[in-house]
Amino acid sequence: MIFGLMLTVILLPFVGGVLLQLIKFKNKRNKESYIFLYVLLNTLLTYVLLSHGPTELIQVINFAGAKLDFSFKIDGMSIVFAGLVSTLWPLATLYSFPYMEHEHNGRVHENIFYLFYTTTYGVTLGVAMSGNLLTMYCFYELLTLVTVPLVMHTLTKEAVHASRKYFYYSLGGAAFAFIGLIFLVVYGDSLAFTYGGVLNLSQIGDKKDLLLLIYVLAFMGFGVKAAVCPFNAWLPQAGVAPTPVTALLHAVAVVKSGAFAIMRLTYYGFGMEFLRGSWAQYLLLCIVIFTIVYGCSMAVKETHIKRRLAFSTISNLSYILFGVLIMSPLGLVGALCHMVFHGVMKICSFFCAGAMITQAHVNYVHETDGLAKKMPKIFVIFTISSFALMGVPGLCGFASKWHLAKAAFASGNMLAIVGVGGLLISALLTAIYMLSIVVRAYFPGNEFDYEKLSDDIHDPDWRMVFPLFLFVIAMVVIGVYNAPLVNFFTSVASGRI
Amino acid sequence: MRNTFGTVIFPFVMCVVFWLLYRSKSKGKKAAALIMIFATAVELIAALSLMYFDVRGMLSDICEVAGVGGLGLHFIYTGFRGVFGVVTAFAWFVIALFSYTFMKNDTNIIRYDIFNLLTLGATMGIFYAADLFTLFFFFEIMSFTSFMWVAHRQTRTSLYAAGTYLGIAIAGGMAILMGLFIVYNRLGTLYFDTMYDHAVEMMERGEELTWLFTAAGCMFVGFGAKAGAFPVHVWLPDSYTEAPTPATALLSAVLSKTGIFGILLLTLDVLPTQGGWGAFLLLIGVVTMAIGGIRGVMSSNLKTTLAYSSMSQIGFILTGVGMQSLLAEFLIVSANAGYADSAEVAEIVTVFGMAVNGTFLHMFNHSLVKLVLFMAAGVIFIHVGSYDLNQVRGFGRKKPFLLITFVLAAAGVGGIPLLNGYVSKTLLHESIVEYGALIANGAVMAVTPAMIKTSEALFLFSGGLTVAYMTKLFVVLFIEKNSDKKVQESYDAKKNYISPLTKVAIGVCALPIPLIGILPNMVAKPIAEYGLVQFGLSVLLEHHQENMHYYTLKNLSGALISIVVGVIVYLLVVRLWMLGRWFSNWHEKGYRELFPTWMNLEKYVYRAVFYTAVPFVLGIIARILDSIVDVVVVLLRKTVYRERALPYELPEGNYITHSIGLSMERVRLIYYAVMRKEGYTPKNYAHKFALKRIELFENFHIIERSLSFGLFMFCVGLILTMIYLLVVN
Repeated sequence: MIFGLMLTVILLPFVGGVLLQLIKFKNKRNKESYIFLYVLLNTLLTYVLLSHGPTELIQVINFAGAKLDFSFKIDGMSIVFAGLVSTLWPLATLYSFPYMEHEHNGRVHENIFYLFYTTTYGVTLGVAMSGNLLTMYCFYELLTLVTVPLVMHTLTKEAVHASRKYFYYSLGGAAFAFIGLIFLVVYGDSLAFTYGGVLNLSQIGDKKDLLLLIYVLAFMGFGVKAAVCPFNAWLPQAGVAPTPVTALLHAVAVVKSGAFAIMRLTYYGFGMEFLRGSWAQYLLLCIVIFTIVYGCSMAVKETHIKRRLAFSTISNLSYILFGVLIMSPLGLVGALCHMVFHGVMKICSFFCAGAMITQAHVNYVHETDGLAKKMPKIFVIFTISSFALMGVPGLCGFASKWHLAKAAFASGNMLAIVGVGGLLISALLTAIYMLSIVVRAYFPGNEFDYEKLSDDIHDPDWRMVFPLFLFVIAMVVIGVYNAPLVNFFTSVASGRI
Repeated sequence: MRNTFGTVIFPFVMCVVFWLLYRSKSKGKKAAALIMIFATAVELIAALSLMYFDVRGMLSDICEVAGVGGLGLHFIYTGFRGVFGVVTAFAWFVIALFSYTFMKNDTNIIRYDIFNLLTLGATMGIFYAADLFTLFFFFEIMSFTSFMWVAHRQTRTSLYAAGTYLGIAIAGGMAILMGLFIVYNRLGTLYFDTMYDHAVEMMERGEELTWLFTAAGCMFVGFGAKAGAFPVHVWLPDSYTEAPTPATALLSAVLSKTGIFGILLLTLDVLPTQGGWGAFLLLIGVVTMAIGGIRGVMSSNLKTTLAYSSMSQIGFILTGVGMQSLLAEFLIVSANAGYADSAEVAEIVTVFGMAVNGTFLHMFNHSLVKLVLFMAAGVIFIHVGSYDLNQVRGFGRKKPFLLITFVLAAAGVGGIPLLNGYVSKTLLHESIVEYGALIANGAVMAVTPAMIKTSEALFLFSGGLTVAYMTKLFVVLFIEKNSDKKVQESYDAKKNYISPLTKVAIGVCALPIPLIGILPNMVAKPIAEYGLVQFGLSVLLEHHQENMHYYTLKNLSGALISIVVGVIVYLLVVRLWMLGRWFSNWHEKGYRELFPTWMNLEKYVYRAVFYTAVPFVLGIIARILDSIVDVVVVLLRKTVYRERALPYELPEGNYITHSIGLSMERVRLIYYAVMRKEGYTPKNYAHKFALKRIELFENFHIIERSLSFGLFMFCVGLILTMIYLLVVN
C-alpha cells in the first residue's frame, strides 16, 4: 500500500503532464486548473504518505549481488526534504501561471514546459524517498535530464548555452559521485541508508586515506549541484530560465537535492564518526567556508537581480554544507534548518524578483529606483525576505544561523569557529546586496521623478501575491516560534527518526 | 502594567494601531502628532509605574516570553534599567511635544511616526533585557528602524549618511552576534546575572580568558559604534547632522546610551575585574573625548558641533566605565591578597562608588542636556533654515527663554559648578585622581600611574574643549550680531518664535539641570543609588554611599582648570584662527570650517578599503575561481578533445598535402605581395600535391603488384636470414 502510494506520487506528475499534451482544453483557465489540481493532489498524497513515515526499507528490484538493489524508504530526512518540496511546488505552480504569460516564448511551448516542470516534482520526491544510494543516484541523474529542457525553455542562444553548461557540470559531477557509490559497495555492508554509516571498518584496514579521498571526490561530485566553488558557474548562468524554474529548481529542488545527497552520503553512507577530524573534513570545510564568502562577494558585485540572487544561493547552500561538515548531529540540525528555511526565503525573494520582471520589466538593480511606491506589496515582502536572509533575529534566517553557529562552537573545531566568522561576514555582505535593492526602491532620492515610472506598473494579481504572502507568514512564524520544528530536526539528526 | 514586557510591547501595538488608522490618508497630521503625544505619554506613565512598583517591591523577578526567536525573550527590572527606561520614555514624550511644531510641514510624517514608535519599543526592550539574546534582538530592530530617521529627508547627503549608518550598524550587529556566540559557548549562558557568576568561576579556576576578551572585543565594535566611540564613530557626525532634529536629539540622548549600556554590561558581567579591559576602555574613552572635543571646537555648524559634543561626552562616560573596571580589579586583587587592610579596601570601595555614580550620572545628565540643546537648535532651524554658524549668528538676542535654557544646558555639560555636569564630571575626575593615588603605592595593575596622570590631564583638557565649543555657540547665538543688519532686525523682531508646547518640552528638560547641580547630595545621589547597576560587586557599594562634598576647593580646582583651558582654547582657536584674524584676509569675519576635509576617516579609509580595495582583491580571486573550470574545459576542448577537423572532409589529398599546399600557396602570395607586386595568379598547390600523392600511390601499387618486386622482397628476406645466422651464431 505504501509502496503503491510512493509510486503514485513519483509518477502522477509525469502522467498528468503527458495527459496535458493529449487533452484539448477549451480555454486557458481550464488547463491551468487541471495542472494546479494534479499538482495539489500530488502534494496531498505526499502528505498522506509522509504521515505514515518513517517506514521500513521497501525493496523493489534486486540486481545481481545482494548489495545492489532498488529500494525506497521514508525516514526523517525524507520527510524533511519531501515535505519542503511538496509544500512549495503547488505555490510555485500557482505563481508560474501569470508569470508564463509574460515570458518570452511562454505560450508556444507551454504544455511541454509544464510536462517537465511537474515531472521534476515526481523525480525530486524520488530523490527524497530513495532507500539506498543507488536508487538516489538514479533519480539524481534523472533530475538533471528532466530539468535541462526547463533551463533551455526560452531557446535563446544564451539559454541553450546555459543549459548545456548545466548539463555538462551535472553529469560530470555525477560521475564523481558514482565513484563514491562504487567504493561504498565494495567497502560497505550494504548500500541502504543507515544512520551512522555503512562502512565496514574491518574491510578498510589501512586504506582509510583512500576512502577519505573518495569521500572528497564524491562530496565534490554531489557538490556540483550544490554549487560548491569552483563548480558553481552553472548556477548563475541558469538564471536565464523563467523565474518559476530558477526560484523553485535552482533555489530549492535541484540545489537542495545536491545538499540532500551530500547529507545522505555523509551521515548515512560514510558516517560522521569515520570522517570527523580527518583531513577530508578540514579540506572540505575550507572549500565550503570559502564558497560562503565568495558567493556573497560575487552577489555584491553582480548587478543583474536574478543572477545576484543566484550567487546568494551559492553562498547559502554552503551554509548547509558547512552544517553538514561539522560532522555532529547538532551540525546536521543546523543544516536541515537552513535547508528548509533558506528554501522559503530564497523562493520568496526570487518570486519578488520575478514579479519585478513581469510587472516593471526590471532586470538590473539600478532600474529598481522608486519602484516601491508602484509595487508596495511586492517590496514589503521583498524587504522582509531580505531581512530574513540577512539573519535579523525574529525571522527564520536567524534561527538557522543560530543553530549552525551553536553547532560550530560546540564541536570545538577551530576551523568551524572560523566558519562562524565567515557566516557573519556573509551576513554583512547579504545585507549589502539585498538592502541596496530595498533602499533604492524606497529612497530613490529627492530628485527622483516618479513621473518617469510608467503607470502600468502595479502589484501583480493574486496568483503571484498569494504564495508570497504565505512565505512571509512562514518566515515570521518560524522566526518567532520554531521550537517544534527544531525539535523534529533534532530527532531526525540524531537518528531517532 | 506591572510587567516590563508590557512597556516593551506597547509601542509596537501602538504602531500597528497607528498604521491601521492612517492606511487611508484621511486624517490630519495634527491628529497624528497628538496620537504620538498620547502614546509616548502612556509609555512614560508605564515606565514610571514600573519604578513605583519596584520601590514598593511588587515586581516579579524575570518576565519571560517563551520561544520567541528560538531562545525566548527575557525581561528584568533593576534600578539602572528602570531609570533609563524612564529616561527613554521621557525623551520620546518630550520629543513628541517638540515634533508637534517642528514636523508640522513634513510630507512623510506618518512613516516617520511609525518608525519612531518602533524605535521606542526596541529601545525599551534593550534597557529591560535580561539576557544578551534579548538585548541583541532589540538592538538589531533599533538599528534598522532608526535607519529611517537618518534617511528621512531623502536628500543625496542624507542617503549617503544613512548608507554609512546602516553599514556600520549591520557590521556592528554581526560583530555582537559573533561575540554572543562565543560568550554562549564559553560561559554556557546568556543571562547577565549567571554570566557574571560563570565568568568569576572561570577566573577563579584560572582558565584561559582569550576567548572572553575576543567576545568582548567583537561586541565592543557593535555597542561602541552605536555609542559613537572612536574609531567606529564615523557614522555619527553625518547622521546626526542629516537626521531631522527631533531624531538627532533622540539619537544623542537615548540611542547612544544603549551602546554604553551594552558596554557596561559587557564590562561588568563578561569581564568582571579584568583590568586589561578597563585599560582598553580608558584608552578608547580618552581618545574619543579628545577627538570629539577637538572636532567640536573646529566645526562651523551648530548641529555638527553638538554632534561632536555628543561624541566627546560619550568619551567621558567610557572613561568612567573603564575606571569602574580598573577599580573592580584593584578591589578584588587587594581583598584577595590580604594585601591591604580593611580601611584601605573601604577606601577603594568609595572610589569605586564614585566611578559608578559618575558614569551613571553623566549618562543621565548628558541625556537631559542634549535634549535641550538639540531642541533649541531645532527651534533656531525653524526660523533660520540652516545650522551654519554665520547664518544663525545673533538669532538668540532678546530671547530670554532660549537664552536661559541654552545657557543652562551648555554650561551644564561644560561642567560649570552649580550645574549638573559639574557633579558627574567631578565624580569621574575624582575617581581617576584617587585611583592614581591608590596605585602609586606600588600595586601592579593593568595601568601605570603615568598613564593615569595622562588620562587625568586629557580629561581636564577635554573638559576645557567642552567649555570652548559651548562658549563658541553661546557667543554666536546670543552675543554677536548677524553680519547682515536686515537679518538681525528680522531676528530681533521675532517674538513668537517658540510655541508653548515646545516651551514646555525644553523647560521640563532644563529644570533638573540646576537642581542636580545645586543639591547633588539630595537629588543626584538618590538617583544614582537607585540606578546602581546590579552585578556581583555592587553589593559592596550599597553600604558605602557617603555624601560627597562637591564644593571643596580641591574639587572646584578641577573645574577651574577646565574653564581656564576652555577660555584659552576659545580665544586662540575660535577668535583668532576660525574667525580668520591670523591671516591677511581677516576682514571676512565669518566662521569657517577648520578641520581639513581630506582627514575623513570614513570616506578615505573605511569606504576606500571596503568599497574599493577589498572588492578589488576579492574580485580578482573570484574571477579566477569563477572561470577556472570553464578554462580547463575549453583548454581540453581545444587540445586533447579537439574535434577532428579536415581529413574526412577534404575533397582530395590528405591532411599533409593539403596543409603543405596551402602554406606554399600562402608563401607564394606573400612573395608576390612583397617582392613582385604584380602578375599574381592563384595556383592551387593543394590540388597539385593531391594529384602528386595519387600518382605516387598508383606507382607504388604498380610496383607492389610486379614480379620483380616480389623477387626483390625475396632477396631482402634471404639477406636478413643470412645476417641473422651470421650474427647470432
